[in-house]
Amino acid sequence: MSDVVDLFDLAKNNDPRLEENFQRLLETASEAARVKLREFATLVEHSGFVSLNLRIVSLLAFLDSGRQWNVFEWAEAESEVSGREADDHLRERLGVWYPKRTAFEDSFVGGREFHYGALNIGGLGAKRYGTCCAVTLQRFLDRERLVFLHSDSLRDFVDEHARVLHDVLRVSVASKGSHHHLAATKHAEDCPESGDWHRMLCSSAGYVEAIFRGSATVDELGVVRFPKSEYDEIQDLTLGILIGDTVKDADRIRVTQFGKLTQQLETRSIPLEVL
Amino acid sequence: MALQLEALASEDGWAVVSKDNEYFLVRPPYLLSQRQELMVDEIPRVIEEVGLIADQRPFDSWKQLIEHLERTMVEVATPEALEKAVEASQQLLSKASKEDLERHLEQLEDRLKRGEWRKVWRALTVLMGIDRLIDDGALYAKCRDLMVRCQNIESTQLRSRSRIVKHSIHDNWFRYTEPEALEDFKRALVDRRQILTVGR
Repeated sequence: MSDVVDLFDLAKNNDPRLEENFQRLLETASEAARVKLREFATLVEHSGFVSLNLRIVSLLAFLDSGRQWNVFEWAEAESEVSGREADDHLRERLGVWYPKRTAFEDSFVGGREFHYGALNIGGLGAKRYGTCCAVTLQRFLDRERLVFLHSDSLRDFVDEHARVLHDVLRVSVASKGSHHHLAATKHAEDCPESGDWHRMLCSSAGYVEAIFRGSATVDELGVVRFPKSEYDEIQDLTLGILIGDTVKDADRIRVTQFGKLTQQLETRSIPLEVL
Repeated sequence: MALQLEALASEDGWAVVSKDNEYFLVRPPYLLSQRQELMVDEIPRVIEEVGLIADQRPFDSWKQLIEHLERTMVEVATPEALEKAVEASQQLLSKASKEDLERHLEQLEDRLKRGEWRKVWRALTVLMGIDRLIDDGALYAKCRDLMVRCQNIESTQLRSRSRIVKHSIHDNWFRYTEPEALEDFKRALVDRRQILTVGR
């Protein structure tokens, strides 16, 4: 593979450019916009954490095993059990999306050990990947192999022919310490006066992607946030189950899964916040 | 209508579905408001991050597709997952916040208005076992009030039922005016282990 590069080096090389861009933005912005941008960048710098959105069962598996498995690690584990090639498992699991999915990781040093999250300053994160938003602790940011990308790597940095857009990527990646410059320049145009910054920075509609080598571990989790609407629905089901309402088996299973999750979080002293 | 399942997580029913070249991420309880449209470019990431497995098969309707997802979920679940639902419910309810309990009581009040007093009563007895509710004066009072209302409905219904029984015997009495017929009526009462009330 000729184009294999080190993503973490790319980020370090791009940090000065991001800071320059940020300073230029401040110089050219109006006074009001300057204040707002500074405030936003400071918030991201001091209150930005990496979050992982997970389904309840994925978070349970994470808590059980103590680590997360990316799709490549999963395929290797399956291969050990089945005796078949890991790549066969990968192709089966990814189906028609195999080429694009593997193109990104295979163009970076250690890419198959990459894990993904998002930069988060509050809220429920990118719920489409899972309703449980597991927010890592401050010390997660001290990882050496951690970078931030302007947006979703697969959607915006791999074209329809499964080619990685290296030229765009090298100016869109930041290491920790410049992640707030990246976030502020990204949102210079659409940053509201105040209030909804957390949703602007990280939601299913868009986010600054965090890419790190090696799984997050359970002791790096600080809090798990869960949507109130889904929590209320589960609470309703619990009462329904106890008083003999007709509750579908699938819903009973969901209640059991959520009950198990709350127990596991409690055991590990990880708070569950309902938002 | 070309409705197709593209990938799913069998343990909890999350899935990517395509319909007429549009892609959606769906998850229980499969409300329309939860259905998220996906761009084709986003699917590989969704499949990995959500943890789905490619599984392409067509369906005639959303209803059939959702039934399939729910059935799959039940098939792959351990028997324990179903059996422990009651235990999990008790545990979750015991940790319910004040706000949760207020919401439960409001919903029970609505159900009481719809005449479901038996289920409401059962729910209230469960809620009365929760420390947070007992320790909160307002919640406790609300719960007691609903219990009293349930009891009142029950008493009213019992009175009304006893009136129906009384009228029924009275009406029948006049149908059995012949001595033989009266004997038949008395035998029937004995057979049914009923009591013949005298007077009105």
